[in-house]
Amino acid sequence: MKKPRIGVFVCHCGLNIAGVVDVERLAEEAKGIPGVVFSKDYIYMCSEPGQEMVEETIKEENLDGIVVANCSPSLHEKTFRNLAKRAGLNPFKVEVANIREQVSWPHENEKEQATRKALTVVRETVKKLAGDLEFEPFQIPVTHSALVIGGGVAGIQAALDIADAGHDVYLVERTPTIGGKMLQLSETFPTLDCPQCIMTPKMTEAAQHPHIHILAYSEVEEVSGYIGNFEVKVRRRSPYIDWSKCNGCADCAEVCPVNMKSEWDEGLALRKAAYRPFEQAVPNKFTIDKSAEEAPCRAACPVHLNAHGYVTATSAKEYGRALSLIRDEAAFPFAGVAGRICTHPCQEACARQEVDDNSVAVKHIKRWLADWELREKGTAHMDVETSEPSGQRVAIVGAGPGGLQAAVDLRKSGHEVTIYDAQDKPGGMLRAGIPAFRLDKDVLQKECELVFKLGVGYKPNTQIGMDMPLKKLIEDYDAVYLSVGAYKEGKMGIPGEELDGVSGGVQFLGELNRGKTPKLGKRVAVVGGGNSAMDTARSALRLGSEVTVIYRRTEREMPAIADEIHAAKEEGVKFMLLTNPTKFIGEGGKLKSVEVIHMKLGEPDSSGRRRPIPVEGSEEILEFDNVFLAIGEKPDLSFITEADGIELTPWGTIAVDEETLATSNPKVFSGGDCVTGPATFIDAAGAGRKAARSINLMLEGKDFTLDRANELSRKSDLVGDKDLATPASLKPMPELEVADRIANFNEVELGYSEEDIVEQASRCIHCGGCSECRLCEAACEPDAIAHFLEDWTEEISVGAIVVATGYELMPLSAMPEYGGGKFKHVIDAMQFERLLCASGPTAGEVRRPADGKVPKKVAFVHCAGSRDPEHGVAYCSRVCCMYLVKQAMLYKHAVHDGEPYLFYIDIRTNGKRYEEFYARTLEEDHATFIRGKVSRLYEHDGKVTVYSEDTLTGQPVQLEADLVVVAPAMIPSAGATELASKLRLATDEYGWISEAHPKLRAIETLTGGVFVAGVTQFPKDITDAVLQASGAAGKVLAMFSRETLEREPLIAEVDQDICTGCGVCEEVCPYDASTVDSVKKKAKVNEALCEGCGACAAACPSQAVKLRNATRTQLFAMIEEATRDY
Amino acid sequence: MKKIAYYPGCTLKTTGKAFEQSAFAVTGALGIQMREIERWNCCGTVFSLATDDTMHHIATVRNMIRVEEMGEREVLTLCSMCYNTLKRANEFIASDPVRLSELNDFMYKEELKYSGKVKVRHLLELLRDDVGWDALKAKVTNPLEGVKVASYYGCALVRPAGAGVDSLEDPTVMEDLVSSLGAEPVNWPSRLECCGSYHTIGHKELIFERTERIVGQALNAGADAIVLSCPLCEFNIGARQHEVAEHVYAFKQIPVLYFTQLMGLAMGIEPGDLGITDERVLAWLSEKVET
Amino acid sequence: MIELGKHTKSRRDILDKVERISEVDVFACYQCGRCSGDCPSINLMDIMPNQAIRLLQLGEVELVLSSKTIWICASCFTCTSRCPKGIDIARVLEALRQVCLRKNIDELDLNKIPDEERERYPTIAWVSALRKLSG
Repeated sequence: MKKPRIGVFVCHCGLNIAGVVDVERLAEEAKGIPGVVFSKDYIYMCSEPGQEMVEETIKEENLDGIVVANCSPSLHEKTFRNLAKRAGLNPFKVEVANIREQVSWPHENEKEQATRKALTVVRETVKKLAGDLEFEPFQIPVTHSALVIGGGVAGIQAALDIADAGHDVYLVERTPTIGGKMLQLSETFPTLDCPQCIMTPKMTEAAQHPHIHILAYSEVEEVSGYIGNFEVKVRRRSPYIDWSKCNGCADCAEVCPVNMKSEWDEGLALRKAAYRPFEQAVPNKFTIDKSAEEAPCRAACPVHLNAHGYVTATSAKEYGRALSLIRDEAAFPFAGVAGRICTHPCQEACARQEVDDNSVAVKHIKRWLADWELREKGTAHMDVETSEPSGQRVAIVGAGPGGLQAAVDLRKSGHEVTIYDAQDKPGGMLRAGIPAFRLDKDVLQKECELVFKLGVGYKPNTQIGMDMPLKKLIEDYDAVYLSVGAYKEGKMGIPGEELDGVSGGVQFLGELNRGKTPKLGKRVAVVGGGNSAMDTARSALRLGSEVTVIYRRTEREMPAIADEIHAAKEEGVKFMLLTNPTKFIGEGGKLKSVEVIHMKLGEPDSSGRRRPIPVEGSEEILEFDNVFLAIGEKPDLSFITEADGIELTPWGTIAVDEETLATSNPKVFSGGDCVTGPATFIDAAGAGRKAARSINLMLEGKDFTLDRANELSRKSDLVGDKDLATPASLKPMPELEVADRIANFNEVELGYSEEDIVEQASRCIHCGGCSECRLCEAACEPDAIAHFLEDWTEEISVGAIVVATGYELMPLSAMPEYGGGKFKHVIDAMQFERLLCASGPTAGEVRRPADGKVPKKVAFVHCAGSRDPEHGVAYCSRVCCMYLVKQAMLYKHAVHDGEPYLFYIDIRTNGKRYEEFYARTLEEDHATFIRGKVSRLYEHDGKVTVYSEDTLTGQPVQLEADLVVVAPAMIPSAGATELASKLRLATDEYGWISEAHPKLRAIETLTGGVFVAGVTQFPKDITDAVLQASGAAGKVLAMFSRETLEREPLIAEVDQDICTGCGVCEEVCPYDASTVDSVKKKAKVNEALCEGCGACAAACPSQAVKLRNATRTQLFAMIEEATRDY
Repeated sequence: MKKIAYYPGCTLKTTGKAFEQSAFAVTGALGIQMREIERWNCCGTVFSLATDDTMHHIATVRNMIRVEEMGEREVLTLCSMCYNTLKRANEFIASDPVRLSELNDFMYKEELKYSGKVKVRHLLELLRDDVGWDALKAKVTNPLEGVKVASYYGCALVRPAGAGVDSLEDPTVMEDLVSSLGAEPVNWPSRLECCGSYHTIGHKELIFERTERIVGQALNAGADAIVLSCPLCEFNIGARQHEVAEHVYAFKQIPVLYFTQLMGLAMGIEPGDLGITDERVLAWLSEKVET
Repeated sequence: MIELGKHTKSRRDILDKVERISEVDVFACYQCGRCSGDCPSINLMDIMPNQAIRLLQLGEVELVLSSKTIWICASCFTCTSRCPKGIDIARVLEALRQVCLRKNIDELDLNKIPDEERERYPTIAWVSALRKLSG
């Protein structure tokens, strides 16, 4: 092999190197290194003459490799490799010995050692060079289309510039419209152009540009690939409107009853849930603002009614639609029943309570809708599509709410359903247990009939177990749902319970409901504190007796709902609390008196209620003619036999799987009181619905056990927007006067008037955004509404990416000294822009958002959060000075006798015509500038006191301002950091995207092919943002001007013979460049992706991976050279 | 022989006699005849800055009428303050026909109305623009070689813009004069600073503070003497030096001359004829300047 | 403590007067301080010329009227000739003096001056002093 001919070139780098290292000596001694045939030093090797010298020498001495001893390779390696190319030497036979950063700079005070170290560095580099092989750079293709992320002014500019050159551009914007923040501004400094005039044409141009594809309401989800060849996944968020059909006519917004705060007007105005950010939006499409979660009321409902929906529709006087949401869409017949006696979990969850303690009157609204229908249409309707007959048959035992609801749902799915019930009329406990003054039996009847209208079979007066064995049902039908309720009344187990005059409350109510009127004595006692106790008491009262409720705990522990207890008291029922009967004393088999003992409360029991403890010797005898025991009921399950294979619980209820309601008999399901013990109407209906789902899935042959948890009632964390709350408070339900009700069984609650119900409905604060009342569907002519359209993903291939995601303002909540967003008359600068803007909420009139007053003294607070490393960010946000000066000027023009006060630290007007603009506000508008940062604000009686100092006079100053405008620091827009990591971009400590070089490469990022434009890189004004955008476009076009790009060949390669396919390289590679072929079980390196970092080479346990021109052999040779002593 | 109307002003007839005397001596030698205006009155000494009342300027205009009565179009002043006041008031009135007629109407007893055309000039301008430095050099019989002179302009001679005899921030007329006389002008920082002017009456302390500074800096710059063209400056930084000396420890004094006096000396005129009477100055002269 | 916006009425009145007398708009001042930087009489002033202008901007006219500064100024025009915004500060101070003098409040008390001194003062000093410091 021929001897190497290596040249060494020592650079002085002025005095940077020569000032420390003895360069002449270094050059001289380098000649002695084996393989080196030439060595020379020069003051600036990188300069023109320096390069010529090297080039000449390579030719004359016909060198086959050179070592340049100079600065870091990151600076000039490329320079000398290009030079080598010109001189006909393979560029990869050029090595740099860094004797500046690694020698002269760190060792400036130890010249001798420095010189020796420099020589060592040169020696080892010569060794490395000796091992270098010749390579040719390889070419990769360039996709000639670009992705621009962010549709603000910068993004639009970049897109237009690239598209104008004839390349396709995908413009991805997160919001439903492009235009960005600039469009919200009133006018722009220093020319006072209105953005609406200069920006909207640009937007339209972009929209109409044949090469620009606007992907609005979308976000970049995933980016893979590399410079020239990126694969991008874009998540298109569903606007719930088919944009291909939407013609921007605004009919949907017209009818939409849901108000929300307008982002475009910074919350100073309202928009609908179906909205277009503003009239000139691009694309000119509407979007429905839906939260992923459901409103709490809706989520909490055991039968999953869309409470939010029908409340909203009611507020819009669309009663038919509202009722249809309950009956037709939720297939729930009991609007009227639930509207009367539901325990309304929806209202417990309602967020309106946070505003004024009372939830929206969902229950009453539901009742009103049902009554309205009866009033308007004479009868109830439920329009439920039933599917094709499935040929399968389901038996339901019990025509209570649970059985009936299950029947509806199963029928809906096309099954043949038959209900067996012991009573002569349907309704179960609704009919038997609830007195007419609470639930109009006619309403109940009509709504039960809705179920049978669906073609549900009904066998009344049929008691399973007596009239027909359960076994037969199980044999005859494909599935059975047991919903038999709990009727067996509990006994106290004390002497005298068998006496005539002692009976059960439910039994008593049942008789009443069947039209009988049991004879009662004068004095009636009701034992118990639950709803049936109250119903019993109030019923007995209506039969003319004096009624006393005897309960062993206090009112606080009573399970009955508060309204009932209240009503009972109102009507004159007496309460004897902390008292319990111990003996019923009779005379001739008939009750005469009751011995009671008084109690006190002890420790809480399992139910969390405090356990009552008898007080020794507190017994007393009370005279009563009748006693009704209402101390809880148990299901009567005597009809279930061993043979049925249905397990029971120790408490005498049917054992089921909570999620599916399946019993131990695979064909039998059960729910309601017979499973839970006495519970509410709505729980029973919910159980029916849940069981129906199980049964239906089973009959369809599906596994009905899969993720059934929180299928119906669940929790929602949505809280709505308190600011949207209407002033109306909860109106108490109008009732019959006590006098008019205690003598009869007429319904006590009378229902609301129409205007009341609309007012009540409009108390909703719309937690979920769109309520899915779907009024828009009817209104939309092109039939574009798509409430069930889901997000989708779009994949695009691009060669370059421009990031222009912009900024947002630091929230006032981060500035407690300025009111933390709680002060009514302290707003941020963007809000003030809207107030000044002709297209703003006040059409350009400056009025205080809180009360519409015209502010006469306005304080403008500079540097809020900016230049404040302690409380905010250390940097200057750069535009605030100018826009506040502008706002002060515009304010003065709008309010002639107004006084603007600007509190500043420095006024920074670093732009063309900026200083002159500022001078105008001083000389023409006489704005008062106070040199001092505002220390704090204090709001009191409609004014805000501004505390500061005028450092020019050294005087503390105070101002009683009508309005304070705060200019918060600019911070990266939400999600910018996540996006950056998707793009493998570095960000600074604040989240601004790092540029490749702060001065010379402020448009490039450290990831090839990805550029940055506008504020995303750092706060800047519109002018600079647009400049940078065009700059970025220029960089992209430079790339696109070529068919291929050159890639460094110094990458990793795998020796296929040695590789064991362990996959370690795959794990360590930060660029996903090395992958193991699953078939060949060998690793391979993607040349285009590999950046030559060497991680894999270092990690490879079998040393199969090599990094070109940095092989182990080379490295060890260097180390040897470095460590040997001379 | 050139003739020119001459406005002396009050002080040149009292404490500033020497200025007038020396001026007559040197202009005479240069073949210029200064014809004193008849029935002149005080110029008002300070130009009134209140723009809302023209009556403040009436004194000036009367003097202008006197000049026109002599059939002259120019008037020469020596005193910087007179120069400043007359010039500015004259321009202020003449520049606005309304103001002019206002004043003329007020002075209806005067035989002729002021035309507004009179030009107010200072002797230094005359020397520079009409006589010329070369002509002056030709008259120098006793060049003041080796004499270092600090030219003191003060305020009225140069400020405000437009009102001065020379550049606002970098006048050279006095230095040119000094070198024409064979002396050496020194470069020093206080030449454009105010002497404290009329505060000499109410605020001596202010004058002393100024004088200490001005004199001190002249000496630091190596000056042997200060020349000036204002009798009030002369009083403050000249006549009051010995008072300063009483207040300020180790205060060194320096001769202060009117520029006309320095001219006279160079032109071989006897100090006596230049109104130089101060022993200390004479002593200095005998030692520094051969006459 | 300065209460901003409190003197709106009187502020305008006096400022108007000052403006009428001086024909200068003090609001053009951006407080560079150049006027105070080279004022020969600064050592005897209680507030600096730029602060005087500043206080006028803030409406604290009384503070300025009651200051020594306006009387110490001898109208040497150094400030006026150097102001980057072309504000004739000397004129403003004159106007402020006028506001006082026109209320017949003299600054100069002749009785305070000893007879032997009176003799020596140049006429020019008398006339200017009386014109500047008395009504």
